[in-house]
Amino acid sequence: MIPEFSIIFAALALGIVLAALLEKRFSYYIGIAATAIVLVVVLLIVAYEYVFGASVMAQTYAYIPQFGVHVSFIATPISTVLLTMTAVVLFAAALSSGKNGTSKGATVLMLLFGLAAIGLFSSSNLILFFIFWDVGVVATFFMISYMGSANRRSAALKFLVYSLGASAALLLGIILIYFGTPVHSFNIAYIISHGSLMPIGVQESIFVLLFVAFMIKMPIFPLHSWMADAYTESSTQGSMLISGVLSKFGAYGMLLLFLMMPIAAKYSTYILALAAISAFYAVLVAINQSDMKRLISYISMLDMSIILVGIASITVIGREGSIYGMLAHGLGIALLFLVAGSIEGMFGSRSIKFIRGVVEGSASAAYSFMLGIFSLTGVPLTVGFIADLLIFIGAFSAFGLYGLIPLGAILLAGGLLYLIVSRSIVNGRNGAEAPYLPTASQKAGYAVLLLFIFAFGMLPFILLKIIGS
Amino acid sequence: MLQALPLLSVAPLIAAALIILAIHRDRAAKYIALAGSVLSLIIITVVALYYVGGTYRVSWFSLQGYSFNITTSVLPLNALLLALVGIVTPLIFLYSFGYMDTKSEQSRYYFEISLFAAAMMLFAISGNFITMFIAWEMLGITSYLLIGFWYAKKVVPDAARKAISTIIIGDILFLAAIIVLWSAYRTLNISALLSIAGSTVYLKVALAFILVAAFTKSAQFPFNEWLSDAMEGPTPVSAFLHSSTMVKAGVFLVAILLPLYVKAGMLMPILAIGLITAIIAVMNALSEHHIKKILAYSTMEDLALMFIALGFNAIFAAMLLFVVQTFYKALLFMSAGSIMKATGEENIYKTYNFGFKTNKLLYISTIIGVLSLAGIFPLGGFFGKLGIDTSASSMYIYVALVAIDFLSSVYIFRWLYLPSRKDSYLSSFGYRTVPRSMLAPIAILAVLVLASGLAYFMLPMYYAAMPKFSIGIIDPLIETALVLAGLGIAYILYSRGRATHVDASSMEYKLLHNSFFINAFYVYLLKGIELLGEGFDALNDAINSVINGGAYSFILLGNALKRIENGSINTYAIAFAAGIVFLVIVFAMNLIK
Amino acid sequence: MLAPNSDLMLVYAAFAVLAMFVASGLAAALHRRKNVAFLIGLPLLVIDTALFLSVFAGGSSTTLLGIFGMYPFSTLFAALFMASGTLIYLISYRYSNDFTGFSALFGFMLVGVIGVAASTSLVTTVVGIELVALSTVFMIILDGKSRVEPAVKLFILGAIAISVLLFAVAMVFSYNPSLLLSGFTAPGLTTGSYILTLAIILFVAGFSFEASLFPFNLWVPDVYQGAPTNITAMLAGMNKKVAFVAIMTTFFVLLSKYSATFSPIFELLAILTMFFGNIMAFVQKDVKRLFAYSSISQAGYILIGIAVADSFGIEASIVQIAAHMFMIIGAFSIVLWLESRGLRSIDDYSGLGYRSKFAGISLSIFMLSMAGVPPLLGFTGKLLLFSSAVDKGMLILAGLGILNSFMSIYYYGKVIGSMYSKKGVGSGKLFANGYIIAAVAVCLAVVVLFGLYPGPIIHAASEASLSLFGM
Repeated sequence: MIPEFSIIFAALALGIVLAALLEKRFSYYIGIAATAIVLVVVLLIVAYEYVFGASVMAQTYAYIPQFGVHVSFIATPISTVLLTMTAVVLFAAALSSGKNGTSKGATVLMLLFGLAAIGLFSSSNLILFFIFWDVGVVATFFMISYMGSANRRSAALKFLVYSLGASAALLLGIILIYFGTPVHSFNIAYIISHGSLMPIGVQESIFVLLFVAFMIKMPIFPLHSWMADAYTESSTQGSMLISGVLSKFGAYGMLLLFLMMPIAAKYSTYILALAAISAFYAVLVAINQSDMKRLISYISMLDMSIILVGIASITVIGREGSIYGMLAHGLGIALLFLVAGSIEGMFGSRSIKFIRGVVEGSASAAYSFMLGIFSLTGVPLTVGFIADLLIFIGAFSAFGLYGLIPLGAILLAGGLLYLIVSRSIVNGRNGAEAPYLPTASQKAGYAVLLLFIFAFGMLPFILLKIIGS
Repeated sequence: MLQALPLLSVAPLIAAALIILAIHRDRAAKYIALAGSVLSLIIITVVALYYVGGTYRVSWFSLQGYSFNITTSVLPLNALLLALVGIVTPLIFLYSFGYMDTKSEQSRYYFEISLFAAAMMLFAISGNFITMFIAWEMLGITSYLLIGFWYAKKVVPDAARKAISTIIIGDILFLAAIIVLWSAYRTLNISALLSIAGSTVYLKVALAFILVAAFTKSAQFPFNEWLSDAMEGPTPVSAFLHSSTMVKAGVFLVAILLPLYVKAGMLMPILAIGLITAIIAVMNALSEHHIKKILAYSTMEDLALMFIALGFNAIFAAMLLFVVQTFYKALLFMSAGSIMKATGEENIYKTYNFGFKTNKLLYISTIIGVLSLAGIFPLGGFFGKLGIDTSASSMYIYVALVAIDFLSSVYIFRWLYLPSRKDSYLSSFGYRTVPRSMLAPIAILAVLVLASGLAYFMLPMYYAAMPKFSIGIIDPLIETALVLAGLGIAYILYSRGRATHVDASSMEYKLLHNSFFINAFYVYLLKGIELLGEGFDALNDAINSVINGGAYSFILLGNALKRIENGSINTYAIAFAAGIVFLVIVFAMNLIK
Repeated sequence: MLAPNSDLMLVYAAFAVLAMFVASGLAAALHRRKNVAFLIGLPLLVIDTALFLSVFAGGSSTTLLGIFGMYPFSTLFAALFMASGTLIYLISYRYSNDFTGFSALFGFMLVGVIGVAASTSLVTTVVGIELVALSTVFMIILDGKSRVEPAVKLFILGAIAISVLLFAVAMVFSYNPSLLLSGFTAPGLTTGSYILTLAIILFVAGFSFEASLFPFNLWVPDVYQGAPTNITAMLAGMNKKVAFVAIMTTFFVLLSKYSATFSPIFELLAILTMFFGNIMAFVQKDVKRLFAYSSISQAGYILIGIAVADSFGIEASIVQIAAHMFMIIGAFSIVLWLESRGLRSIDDYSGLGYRSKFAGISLSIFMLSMAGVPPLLGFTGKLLLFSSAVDKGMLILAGLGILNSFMSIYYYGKVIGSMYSKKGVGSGKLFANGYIIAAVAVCLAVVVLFGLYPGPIIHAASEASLSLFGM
């Protein structure tokens, strides 16, 4: 069998080294090449798992033998979906950055972040999970503070403080899990199958700690303050990766948490309430935002809350929906941020009051934005539909009609986004005079993301078969 | 495999794909679109003749062992809608040849409208809710794109936004209904759902959701506002939207699920909303000046009448109007578009001299359409309206319905007379020639309207389950008398120019034209949401600063502690001693314990 | 276990090389030959590091002169201290005002350090600590007149601490006249032996002074800031660690039976020290002072393992000591170099990441490692520390420790953010010299490589810890 993970990590590591050593003019191509290899290998993993229905696994060496921690990776059904999302978003980000917009540092950080994300989603034990979590956080911190816009310093610091706050809770939780399991272990699969053997009290404290950690990262109200700044002040590629991939660290962790700790079922109703509040809160805050990226940030938060609804339902379908929701959110929000970046480039401003008539300047940006909205509002044939359908089937079977309440937030978000389209995207003709139109590389980025948004929306059976196995 | 044939009726989808791939070929786009629609008409003819009752399913994805399918089914009702769409689509496309004569944007237009047609065809043949929801959303989105086609015009983006914001309510509720139905019955197949026994709470909830969704699509109260604004779209789109597609989807959805509504005892809200909408529509139509918007209100009224019939469980009456309305409304919209095209004027008060001299074919066809709408024997509208009236279950409603018939007769003749007035400045008001490609579909539709009365006789042959209503004597007489009275009153009021246009600030305009303040309600609702947004934004900032403040308290603590680090060796030595004392105390306490 | 001859030879060789270093330092001081001292001294230190490492690898135990015990715990620390000594020596060459004098004193200091590490008797421990403290004071003074104030502070307060320690030794003497660490059978505390209780308190206080534990650590920032930075690096990287070694040998060999008594005290001190260091670091503007407080908080983390008071805890503390040794020496090396370029405050550091990629990247890595970000060595240490606390059921201690390591990210992040702000970019590039680069490279290699593959270092620490408990 092909050593899939070795190829992925080798490609990324080699990319990092080459980008750091070679001249700046090669950075763009190194980024594309490395992420393209990752994408191809991940799609091969998807194909393999679809055909054979088995998880792809790789084990290399002992990391902390005293704790029984090995560096081993596994593409479980859940992680396969997230790997796919990560690979696509990474590739789109690398592609869209453009030859002139890429620096050595940006490429290195992007690939490092990719390494962390892929490592995290495929790690088979919690220590690796934690390590890649923190590497991702640090890479993101540098991405914001190295490449962001005017207020990036405070945004980066805020991000770091929140994220490592999450790390702190996560670390304590992981250590508690280790000593709580009957045979001390960090192995995720083992913990999932033996989590119920832990004493209730231990489970409760672990649940609270990890829930807070993952809540910060998703983010869920009221621990979301870092989000808008971080998403807004990052560079376009930074926003794509942070909103698309980094937020999934939290969502993926949340999913694992609910699998690992059976105690979660006890709180599911409260969590649904929290998710619903978070969803409505996000969309209501979004209404008053005049900064395009900030607005999209809150829409992203809404979507993450919806994913939490699926997780909280503790039903198989709801969980599968939330996995699909992560895919949908990753692709959709990355697209929106990419378009927002193009629009910012066109107008030199992110203010909705200032942006007028995008479609006159760049039809592709305008239509990509609309298609992104379709995915986020769950229009069929986009990934968003499958996600919403499954999540709310799960939520309905767990909570009855109350489970459907968060749909109202999606409705509001749809109304809001269409309002933005009518006011800024299609209204007026200012776009025709924009000095900097989206470049071919940005358009290629749209195309990649849209291709997968529709591919996984129209052919959901591929990933659903893998998830269901 | 032949059972998959109905799926092929969405041939315009192929045309749309071809157009978007062959982008920048503006000249070829219209031929591709027309070819696609003609192809679909051929397929639909075959399907409607030979495949009725057939179903076909292909699994889309499966979940927990349950398969979610793409299902087509050609029940008689499906075949009916499919046939209507199939007939109207090529005509609309042909009409577009002349109407959309701009050099650019051709491929965008034909792409969007082909997609729209394909969506409606898919809707017509869908046999389960998943398929139907796909079509439903495609309809909503493509209609949004088409209404906003001329987005560069100032009011257009807002009109399109209004449409989609209303439609999305229906979309979300439809999705909710699908979720409830699947969870409750583990199937989304429509015929399977129709056969479920008993009425549960979940069934009622799902039906309520679907009903509201249908109201949003069919522009029923209180979701009626978008329809008149949607007139900002190109006229062929309006003609398409208002005859066989989009707004009909809502009625069709309720019609196909009518047995369930009967079972759940939920006919009353259908009837009530229909009545309210009909009244609003007629009042608006009477006071409107825009040549297309009057027709839009008329559509709203027609749809309301269909809902009323459904509310009486009179499926035959509803479907009859459903069929005949398709033709006369398409015809009237095309006429209106031709007048607009020829004169460049949209206000009926500012349009003059419409008559035989301007364009004989157009004028005659328009009159046929008007007479059908008003309900003159033996045109289709006569049967359609009669069916609705006779299905009324109570006297009060009957009176209301005939009053609505009378008023609709008044407004439609007003619509005809006002542009027909003579220009006082001796025919300075000129008409450009209307292209043949626009007149041809009008003529064809005029023929269809003339023949549409036959539907009353044909429909029961086709669909045995629909009990035909009997015409009787009294009802047709009453109706005809009222229509003629309307004709006369309109003639007296408008043809001589006695009634000038209704001032927007006048009392009667306000009374007639604000749809029971529903528009104002939405304005305030939006304001309220906006205020709520501001409030939440402030709350968000507050939360942010509380958390920041919490972090900042550490810095304050640090600054306070800084004082003991004063560099003095005495302080440090004292601290050392204090530390020892502190340790002694701690130990002592430990020992005591 | 009796050592095989080859191992014994290695031990002798190691001590011989140390003696040669002392001699060469003295000779250099007399002849004022700076270059010669460096060229002879540095290889000797490297060789000695290797020798102690191979002794440790041999794993044997032996006793020299009755007061020096060569067992894995002491040889591991001897190797670590020789390694860090090498680094200090390397960076001091360029930046010490009187390098020959420094060399001579450094030799004495190393003798003291090795003495404490290898101590089997209270006398050795106290004398070793005294030797280390005094050498340090004179090293500070040697640098110039401006250094008198910190030196005096260190001297006077150090004298108090030493006298407290001696007092404690005197109290133990009545129960244990041999003053040997092992084999001490003392009465239980509940039987009224308040003298011994007081001795424990005084030991805690005295060692806390050297290990910079709150509230015995108020001198630390002043002295760290006032001393020449190479000495500051030594203070943070060696002196403090020596105190921890002394704490370990004293409390886990001599007083091991009283762990239930002193463990809560150390727990309390750990918590106080962590909070004190971190909160004070929040409000610092001077980078050197910031690192002073940061190393105080690190002392708090190290103390967690001691508070846990079992072999797992000590193992964790050892890993953390090793980690912090290299992190802080690396960080202070860069601070030392930048100080010579006039960069002192956090504001001065703005744009540094662009002016010198070397400084930006390596300082970031050191700080991230201090904050406990994986996969760096600082994370491994903290993971073990917190795990040991959780394992022992000290959840509050673990929780507060993790909370503190999270808080610390604020000020590290502030410095890193400043380094990558665009403000100071225009001030021109900065290039480091070879000594700094070499020292930093070694530290970086340790922090990153052992962070990526911590197996060996954990294994070594666990062996050392077990041997300590086996004494």
